[in-house]
Amino acid sequence: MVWDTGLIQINDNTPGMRLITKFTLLYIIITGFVIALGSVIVFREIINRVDNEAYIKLNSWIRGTVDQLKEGVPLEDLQIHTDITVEELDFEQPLIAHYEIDSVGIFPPRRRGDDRRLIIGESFKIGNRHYLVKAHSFIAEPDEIQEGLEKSLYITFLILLAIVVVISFFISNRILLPFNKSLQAMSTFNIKNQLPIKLKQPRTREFKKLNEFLEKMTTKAVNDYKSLKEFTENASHEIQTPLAIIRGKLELMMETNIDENQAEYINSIQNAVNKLSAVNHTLVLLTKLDNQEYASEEINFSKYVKDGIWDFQELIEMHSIKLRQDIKEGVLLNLNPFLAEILMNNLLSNAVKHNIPDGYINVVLTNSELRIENSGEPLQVPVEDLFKRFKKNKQSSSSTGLGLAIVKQICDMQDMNIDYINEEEKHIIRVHF
Amino acid sequence: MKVLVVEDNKDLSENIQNYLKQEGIICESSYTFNEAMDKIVSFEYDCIILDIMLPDGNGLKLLDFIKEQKMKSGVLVISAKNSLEDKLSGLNMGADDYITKPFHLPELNARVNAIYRRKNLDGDTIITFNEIEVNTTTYVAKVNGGILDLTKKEFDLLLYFLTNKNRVLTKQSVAEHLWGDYTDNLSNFDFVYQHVKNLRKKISNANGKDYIGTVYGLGYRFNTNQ
Repeated sequence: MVWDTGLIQINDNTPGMRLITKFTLLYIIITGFVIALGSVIVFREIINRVDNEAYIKLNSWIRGTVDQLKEGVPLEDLQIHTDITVEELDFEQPLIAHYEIDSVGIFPPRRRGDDRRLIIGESFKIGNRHYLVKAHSFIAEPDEIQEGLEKSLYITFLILLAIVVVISFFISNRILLPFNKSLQAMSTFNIKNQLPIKLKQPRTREFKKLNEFLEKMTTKAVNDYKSLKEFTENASHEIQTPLAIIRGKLELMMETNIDENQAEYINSIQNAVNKLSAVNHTLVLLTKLDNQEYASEEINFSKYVKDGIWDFQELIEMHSIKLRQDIKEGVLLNLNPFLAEILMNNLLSNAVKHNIPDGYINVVLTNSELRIENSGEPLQVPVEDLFKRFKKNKQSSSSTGLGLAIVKQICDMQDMNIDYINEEEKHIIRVHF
Repeated sequence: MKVLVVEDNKDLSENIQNYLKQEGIICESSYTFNEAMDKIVSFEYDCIILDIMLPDGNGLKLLDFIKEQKMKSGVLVISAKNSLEDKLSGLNMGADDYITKPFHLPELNARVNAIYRRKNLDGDTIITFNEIEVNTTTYVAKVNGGILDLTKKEFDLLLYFLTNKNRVLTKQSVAEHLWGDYTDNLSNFDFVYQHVKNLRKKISNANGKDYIGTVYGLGYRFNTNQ
């Protein structure tokens, strides 16, 4: 019979990473990884190429030298690069096969002493002479290549990073606009307005799907809510009509000749009907409270407190209860006027009903709280149970057991705190605004 | 007085007619929207007791029609909905009064009479019974020509008794008449007793007869043949 409203508040300050930040971060991590991996490949490739080129160059030098020697150019007249040396060996010596040495050499003109130096050599027997031809070349060291590579890739990465960040934040606002709009529409959706969410159709497929789903879901929620509400109203109607019939028949029956016994029976039935009717009305009220059907407005709560007391004045006097009141004027509250009446009525009616003969009631209203203190027998149930529906201090009592549940519901709705303190014969109920 | 009872539930309709007829009110009934429409168009009624929920239409539409045609009939709306919105929309649409189920028959009778007085007897709103005279516009009650010093509640109580003479009025019904809807929460009707006691005392002090008697276990009755 009583259900939640389904009103969900979305806090704008919800902790968590923004979607675009996540995307960007992920992209940056992947890019960084790919660039790092790529740099290793590039590094190896460069080293390979440089070595190959160097060897090809050195080999061609040697070939050129050998060609000149074959043509019979004497050793002193050879037109060769300064990095090539030719020395004559003993003809009887065996041929030296092609060799390659990868070493660190000293290269004086360079800034740094160490450099990588490739040397190749081979001996040839031309005619009756034996020559050893050697050539060497300085090439860039792997360290240097790596350094250059790292620097350039680092700059590339930085540029990429800057572009990605800038673009993602500029574009994300555009691309995610429909999504953010849907979010906003969801957070302002309130089932009690009975308006399903209507959204513009975005061009992105996912957002289109999302919006379609949201519209369908809210339409269904609104329809379900309507039928549930109608059901409650109809149920209430269906119960009230038979109650009206019973009450009427009893009233007609009272006009006939009845004896005292019958009068007592009628009286009992009347009381049961009254209680049933009260419970029914109250349940409907609770349902309406659950559905947040009562709009709040700024009211002068002091007036409602005073009116409430005024309504109970007679009853209070009749029970010879001492009433003390200290009500601050002009206390403004955001509350529905009808609910303010019910709040005061239920609280005061409890204070009177559960009082003891010659007891007291103190009502204090300040800017921050309403305090009603009254005498009464000590509680027999835990304090927190009192705010539950159908919980009463004495199960046999004629009250509906819904009065404080309603008060609690009203307070919850308005974000007001309510607490109950029981010390022996003293009962204090406080509502903090 | 002629009253049309528009109520789809036959038992409830019978209750109302039964009670009102004994008060000398001429009652007719219709159980459906269309039936009611036919009767309203064809005959004139002083008061129409209208249930909002009818099997073939909304009672508020009948109310609309009555107001559009500027009919003289007063309208008392009956509804199971005691929600504020319905109450307001009913009254805004021109209903003269509004009563929620389950109502007390004496209360219904009192309201129908109040509507009738407001609508038909221009200015003449004095109800007399033997030595008692009650003016419902000036709120002055007299016994043997002398003004009774009554509180507002005592005046209402006297009027309630006078419109429901020789009827058993339960404490619950009196309490609801005097204090409205929230008496549900008050299990104690001592204060009804107090008011009745005061009223009786004031009438006797003015040399009026003590017409108001208690009915054992049930409530009170204004006995005319005292």
